[in-house]
Amino acid sequence: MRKLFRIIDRAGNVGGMCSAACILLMTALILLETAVRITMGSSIFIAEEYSAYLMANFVMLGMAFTLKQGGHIKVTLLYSRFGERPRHLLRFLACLLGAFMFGLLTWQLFVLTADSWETKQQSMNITKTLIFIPQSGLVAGGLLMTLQFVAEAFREAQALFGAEIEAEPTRVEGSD
Amino acid sequence: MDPILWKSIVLGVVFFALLGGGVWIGLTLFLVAGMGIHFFTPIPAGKVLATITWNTLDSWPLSCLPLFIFMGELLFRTRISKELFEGLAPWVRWLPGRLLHANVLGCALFAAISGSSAATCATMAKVTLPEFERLGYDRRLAIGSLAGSGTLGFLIPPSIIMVIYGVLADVSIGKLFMAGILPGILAAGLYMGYLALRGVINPAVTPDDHKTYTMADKIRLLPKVVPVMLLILLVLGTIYTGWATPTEASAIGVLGSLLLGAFSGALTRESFLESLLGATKTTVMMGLIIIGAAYFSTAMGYLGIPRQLALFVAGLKLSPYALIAVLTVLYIFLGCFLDGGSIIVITLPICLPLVTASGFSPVWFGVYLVIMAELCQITPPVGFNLFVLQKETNKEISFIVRSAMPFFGLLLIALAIITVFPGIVLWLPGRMFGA
Repeated sequence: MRKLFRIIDRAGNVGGMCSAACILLMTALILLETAVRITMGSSIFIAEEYSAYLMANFVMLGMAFTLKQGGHIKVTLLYSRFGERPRHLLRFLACLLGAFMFGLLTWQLFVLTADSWETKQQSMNITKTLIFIPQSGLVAGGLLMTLQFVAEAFREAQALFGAEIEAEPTRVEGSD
Repeated sequence: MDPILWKSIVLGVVFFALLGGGVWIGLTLFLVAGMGIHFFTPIPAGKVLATITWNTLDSWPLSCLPLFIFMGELLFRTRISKELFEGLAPWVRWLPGRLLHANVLGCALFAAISGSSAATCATMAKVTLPEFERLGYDRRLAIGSLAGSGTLGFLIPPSIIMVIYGVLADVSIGKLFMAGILPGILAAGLYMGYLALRGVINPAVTPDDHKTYTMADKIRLLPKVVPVMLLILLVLGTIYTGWATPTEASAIGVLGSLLLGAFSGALTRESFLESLLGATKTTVMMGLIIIGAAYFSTAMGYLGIPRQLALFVAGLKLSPYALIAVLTVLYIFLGCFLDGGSIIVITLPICLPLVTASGFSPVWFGVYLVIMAELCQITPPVGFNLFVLQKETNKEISFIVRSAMPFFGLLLIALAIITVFPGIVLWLPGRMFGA
């Protein structure tokens, strides 16, 4: 189990790195478009379309990393008044709900992507990009987030029942 | 009981139970929306979920969000706030209220390049609070001026909250940015007027340090403000003239911030990576709330709740001003428990149709909501700027709250002024190139 958690954590970190890379790619792409427009009065024709794909992938791929870093916000006003054990129980339940919701989202995104692949759906821009390619990143991001929620639920359950918490410490607390 | 009413009550109870139980805000929106669609409509909730997620995130206007946040993160790690203070201080020290004006102006200028209220507040606090402490300035006034001026980060463009509102409400982000400028100047002017008044009534609140600056000294220190002015010109000027879209301007802003960091020597491999990962975490956090809000908004639409509520409010025959007054009380109440951005996305599907039906422009309402989000930053017990200042000063939160209260009142006055004179908001967007 310890090994599995470590793999999930590392996968989440890789997702975070890919997400960060998307910001740099977006910046480069948009700057290139702007430079080409100023200097040649032309366009690279892909900046808007591919920046949007990168944006979608950026958000979904970075979800698990952000969860692990405690980046997603929650209202702690009431919750912080509970004792340690009820808080573990609430966090456990919240992680289960998260795993359920993101499991559903990942499955539905997979269905959407599979449909785009089967129907060879293309973008309406000059690039005629096959839509299932950018959509695949969202499925991967959703899967990473689901797994991270499962791992966090296990950790909370272990903390709740007094067992040793496995894998590296995590920061799912968030802030308000 | 009316079916829409009991459905609303059930969903409302679930919503607050989840939030109170510590479920993440974005996830709560997903869960409540999914529940509403699944149990109360014949529409397949899962299919809608995937389509909404893809359609919301696959967005060119939204692409400016991570870039503006990255720009703010880069600038947060430079010495720009210190230089701003040093450049502005000689020009304002003769005014009643003295260097506290540099707080307001520094925050306003930093806001114009960062887009974040908390970053503006934290960055300026680090520089100015030790200086005010050394000079023996009234602590409450110094902290209050920072709490108030820090909120300008939301109003003065580029504003992260405006990007989120623009995407969700389908309003031009460029126009929203321009709409925020004059109200931002108005709020800053009110803050400065108040500080001057306090300085006139009791000059001891800002003791004179007897430093004198010649005109030559002042001009010599002015270049410290130039990098910020250039960045503002680059980002806002390009949007105003129609030369660049907000997304393109955000990329130009990132490049400008990188150059500024490199020239000032503040840009290292570590600070670059910290900025990049900081921007990733912040934007992804917002991304989850944005998709959740889009799904929530769709669910509300399917359930017919906004339409029903609009009919109910129309039946009350409230004047537009009364409606805004009611909404203001509601937002201030919500601001005690939630952060401003979350309140905007949660209430938007219901409030936007109401307000536009009363004759207000969506651009005006965007600015109104941003001011409400600013107020939420300084309303206890959950006011993010209050926490930032508590961290910087180690003072009791009650002291910080009392210090911020006059500025809370001034922001409400600014809100009343733009409600009575909406032209303050709408004049500049109407004069944009291509408007």
